Amino acid sequence: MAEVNDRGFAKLKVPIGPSHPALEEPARFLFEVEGEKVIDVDYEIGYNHRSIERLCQERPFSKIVYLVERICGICSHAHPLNHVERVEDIADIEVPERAKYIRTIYAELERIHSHMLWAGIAGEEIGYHSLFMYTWREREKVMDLFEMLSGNRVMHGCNKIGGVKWNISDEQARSALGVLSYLDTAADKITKSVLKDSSIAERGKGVGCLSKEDAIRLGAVGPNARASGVAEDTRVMCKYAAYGDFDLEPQIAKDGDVVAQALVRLAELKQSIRLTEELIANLPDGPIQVEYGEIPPGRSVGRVEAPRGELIHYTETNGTRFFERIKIRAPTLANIPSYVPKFLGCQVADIPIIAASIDPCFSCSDRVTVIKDGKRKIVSAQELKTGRI
Amino acid sequence: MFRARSPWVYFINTGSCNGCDIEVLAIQNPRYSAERYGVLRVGSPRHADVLVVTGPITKRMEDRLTMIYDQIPNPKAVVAVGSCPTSNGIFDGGYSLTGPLDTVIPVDVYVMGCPPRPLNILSGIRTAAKMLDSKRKGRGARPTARFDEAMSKETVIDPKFRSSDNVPEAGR
Amino acid sequence: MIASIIVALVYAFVAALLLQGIRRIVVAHSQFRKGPSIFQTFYDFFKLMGKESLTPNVTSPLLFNLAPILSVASMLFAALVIPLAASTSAVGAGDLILVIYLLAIPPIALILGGSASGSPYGAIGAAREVALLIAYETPFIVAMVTVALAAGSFQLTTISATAWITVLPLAAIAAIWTLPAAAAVQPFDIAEAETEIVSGPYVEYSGPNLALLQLGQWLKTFLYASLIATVFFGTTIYHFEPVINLIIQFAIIALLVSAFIAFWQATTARTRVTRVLRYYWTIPTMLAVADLILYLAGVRYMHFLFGWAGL
Repeated sequence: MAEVNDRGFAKLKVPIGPSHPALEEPARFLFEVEGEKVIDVDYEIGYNHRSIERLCQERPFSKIVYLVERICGICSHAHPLNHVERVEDIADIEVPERAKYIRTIYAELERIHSHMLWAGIAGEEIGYHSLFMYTWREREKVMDLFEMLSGNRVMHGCNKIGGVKWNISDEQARSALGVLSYLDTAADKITKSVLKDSSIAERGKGVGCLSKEDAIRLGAVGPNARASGVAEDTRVMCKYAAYGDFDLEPQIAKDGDVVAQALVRLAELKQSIRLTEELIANLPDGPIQVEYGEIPPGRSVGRVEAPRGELIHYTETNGTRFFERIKIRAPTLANIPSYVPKFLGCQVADIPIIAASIDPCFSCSDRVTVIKDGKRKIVSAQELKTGRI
Repeated sequence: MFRARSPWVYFINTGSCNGCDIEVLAIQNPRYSAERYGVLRVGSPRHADVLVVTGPITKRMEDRLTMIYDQIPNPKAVVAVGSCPTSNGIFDGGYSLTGPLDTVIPVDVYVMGCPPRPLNILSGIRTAAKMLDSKRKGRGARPTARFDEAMSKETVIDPKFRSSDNVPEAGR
Repeated sequence: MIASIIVALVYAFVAALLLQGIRRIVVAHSQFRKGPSIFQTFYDFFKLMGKESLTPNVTSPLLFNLAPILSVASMLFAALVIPLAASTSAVGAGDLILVIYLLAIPPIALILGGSASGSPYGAIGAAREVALLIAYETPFIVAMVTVALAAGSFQLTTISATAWITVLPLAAIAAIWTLPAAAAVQPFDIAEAETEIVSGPYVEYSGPNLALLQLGQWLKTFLYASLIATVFFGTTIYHFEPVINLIIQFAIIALLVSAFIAFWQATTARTRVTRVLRYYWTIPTMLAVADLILYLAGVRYMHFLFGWAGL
């Protein structure tokens, strides 16, 4: 099993995943370790491939919103938001202002819950269960808010082509503001504990560093890139939904290590709470959805800032009830290459926190990786269309 | 009687969208506090009593799932969390799925919902734990793979895709 | 004689499992949640005893199955050697040395079992357990030797006639400092480290084997704490009925465990294996060595400190 190298260290091959306590989702990393040091890493994704893009072509487009919502349970608003914006772009549907604001409120609440979830998971990965318990207790407040607004904790079913389904009443807006001010103090407490705790500093400082050059070269997106100093935020650049009405600064940190990742996410958490408060306070009156007619043939590609980074949807229609093609590039797929510089030379103990540091979401990413007979195979467009792969 | 009070849970994601996963994780948090019923999440299937499965069964996870199931010592129970393992849910008809779960391994408790609420999941786990006593005890060593062997096995997908015969031409 | 042996074994078993229940409750409450029942460890233990025991495709099945028995047997022996409350030790002179050796056996059983399982997680876990053992044993042994030198004996009944925390507080701090590492809970659960190496040496164990291996750890936590309680708090306080004596002793141990193990567990992240050596070989070892040197130099600082108060 173990071969011994010339320095007397046993070389071990340690598989992490596809099912492993550190990974919430199936993905496999094969580490080669020497003592406690990682000297090589290979990753393999695609365990989560559920043929969603293909199903998107087989079903009438009224059902696709629900399907893309279930690409990922954590970004369950970002995917349908991007999807309906693409269809609206193709069909030139003018969405009411109020609907845009409600979409943005959901998107920001999703960022709040996702970043709190990340803080808890990161605590769990370094063995700090109290941090997990604390952040997940506070996160329940966001889930309650979601339940109050949409009736479901995770799958909100809020977007539809031409607007949103759930309105926000004054009473709901008032209690949401109360919850948000509570979350603001909770976010402060979490930030304080991350900054002050010596054991977190010990486990996070200088661990899993990604330089700015590497982040750009490897195409990192979202908080992963911003933690390395790349000031890119799709909300600022694209100004989709209601983001054009507000001034946002991309939150960046310099070091690119785990603590920097945490600080960027916690700063965004605070920023999102403030933004949501502003959105609710400035919620315009009016209808929340518009009627729309035929969807003409056309194509549209667009970007949305999911909690994990830039999410790209490419949508092509052909004038029928079915989509010609939907292509989804999830943020985690762009972030996976940045694992390699982060993992090389790290310790075995740091593997889980580095794996968690990009906030991976493999269910988003696993679009197509066909492995047949253990070898990678190139799939032709014709095969993709007919499903014969 | 002790089994009902200390269900140790091994949790496997076989292609779930994460929605059920975060709700399964949420049962540990202070509001739902699964530990008050002795529910503990364990990292090795050898320690587990209850296997919690989320997600439709993707082709690549199918053999991992059966391996993990074999590694759990008897008596054991399986909880299918969410609509996906129960019926493939919204992904039904996808070419890369082999589920639903009960065509792969025997299932004891189905928790419906997309996703189910944490308390329903917790109640499903407890129901499964209560069923453990009536299960076959099972003695004697059966040879099973080690955890790391199961994990480092190369994935080889057999080209037996059901969809190659019956999927219509891109649905229109 | 046989009756007292049975009492000692049953007391050690019940106390060790209750102690874990108390620890889990304290941790749960400091994490804002309602913890498990205080008898949860009993449920876990008896459930595991009733499960199937699988011996997977391991490198050495004999060693793999022997390790849990070795672990529990050594701890049951240690339970007889350490004086429980006011009772006397079953072994005579030099039993402190015997106990220190016995207390190192459960980690060694874990190392054996982890290596024998042939799993890379077990191998990494075993290597980490070695580092942990070396790290915390050093200050602990220096502290114990200091006490033995001061008492002029390696016999526990002689040593425990004095509450040494009043004479050698630095050594006592060093010894108590090693408690979380001996209990192998956070931040020192590096050998199990569920999110890193699944559960290290335990990964392939199932059913009764797992129950015994864990029982060995639980007994070790209890006996380690009870050794510290016996040596540093003395046995002079136990002058009541035998049952009350046992309860008092258990209360002291439970206090030690909740204050130094559970509290620590709830407020720190898991440390790294490279840090453990640095962690234990610096301050705790220095404290213990300082006390040893001060004692050998004839400095009775506690006497100077409290001499004016007539203590």
